[in-house]
Amino acid sequence: MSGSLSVEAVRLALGMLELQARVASQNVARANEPGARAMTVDLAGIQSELAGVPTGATSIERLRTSASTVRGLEATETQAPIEVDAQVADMVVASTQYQTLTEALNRHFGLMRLAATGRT
Amino acid sequence: MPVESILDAARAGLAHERARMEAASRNVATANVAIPTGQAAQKWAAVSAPAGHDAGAAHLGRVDAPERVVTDPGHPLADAQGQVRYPDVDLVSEMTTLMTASRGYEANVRSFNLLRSMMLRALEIGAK
Repeated sequence: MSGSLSVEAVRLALGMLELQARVASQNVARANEPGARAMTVDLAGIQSELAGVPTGATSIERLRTSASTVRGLEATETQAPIEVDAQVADMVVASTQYQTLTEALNRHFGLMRLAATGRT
Repeated sequence: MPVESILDAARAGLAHERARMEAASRNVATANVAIPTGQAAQKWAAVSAPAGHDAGAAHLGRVDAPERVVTDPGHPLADAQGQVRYPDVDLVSEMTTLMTASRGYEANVRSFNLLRSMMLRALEIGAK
């Protein structure tokens, strides 16, 4: 993996967004099953860790550990019924943030390539 | 995690909504089809796949349904008392199912496309 704090933070954020989108997708798929309840995943720990990145409150190792655990997080069932519109909106938000971060990552690697080779 | 399993939920949702739509439209179509004597009243519904098939895949099955009885001695399927049995199809409920299944199908297509675009963007990281 990379030795850059920002790349590891982006990797963790991408994993978190993918998980959010997947859970929302599962909720949309079950929306018309009788008695279905919305599933959710608790990402408060991951989000507070990402919030600590600008202040230097976390380390590359902690980010890597979190990135590997985020893939194994299980969704839990809430008591709320599934609102399809809200779930699709959540997916759109997660997808847009995902694309923003991949674009930022691409530009980051482009700058590294420019620094290393003198060409874009 | 395998790449293709991300889309499994959306695919299962699409199959489920399509099965519900198919069941509702068949029920509406057979609402006025008389039941032969000796047969139980049944209607179509989306049921889970039986053992051995893809777990969670929705498909159509027959379930027991209430029946309504009409007095019509001249009907070929009338019984000894001149009664003809029909499945008691609640048209309001079936039409509502059609609409919610159609909207649910669109939502699942949206969800499928969003996940697919995320996957494609991830594959483009660092490429040029």
